Amino acid sequence: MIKVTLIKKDQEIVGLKISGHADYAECGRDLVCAAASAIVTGGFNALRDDEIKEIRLAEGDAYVEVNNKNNETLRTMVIQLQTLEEAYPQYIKIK
Amino acid sequence: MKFLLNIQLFASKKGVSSTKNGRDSESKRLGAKKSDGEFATAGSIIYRQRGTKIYPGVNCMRGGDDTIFATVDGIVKFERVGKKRKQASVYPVEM
Repeated sequence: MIKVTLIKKDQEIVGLKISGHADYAECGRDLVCAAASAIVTGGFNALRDDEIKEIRLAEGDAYVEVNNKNNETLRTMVIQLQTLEEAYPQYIKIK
Repeated sequence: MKFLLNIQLFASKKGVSSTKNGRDSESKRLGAKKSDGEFATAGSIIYRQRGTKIYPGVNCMRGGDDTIFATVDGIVKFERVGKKRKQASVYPVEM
């Protein structure tokens, strides 16, 4: 299961930590993993350098923290991951 | 782009694990070496086995590895003994 942890400051989302494996299917056929990978990689690339406080992207482990609150790119990523979670709750969990 | 897309970033690698099987011992070519009615010389092997599938009968003996062999020259006979048992015997040929 992919675990997504929302990093908050004063009730505002300022970062994301994504870890684990979807285990929806074997490597190469894992649709949930593919969706999460595309959302996270695309989102990280969409962030401007000045917005990024800390960022890391590795197999089964992604982390980002931004400088500004109400970051639109981050909000979009969270909504996309929530949409994925709604469709595949057994394979991705946001908390 | 900062990050290249690995579409299986959050997939488990279990799908690529190797199997733990795939080993077997050298086959020992067990079984009958002489058939019923065949001529056997003294000392020749009649039946290779593990344990006593076949028991030593007339003019036969069992070796250390349970091999049944002839103790005289003669014709091999496989006989039934009781309900379940089988034995191999060698009967000399009257000249």
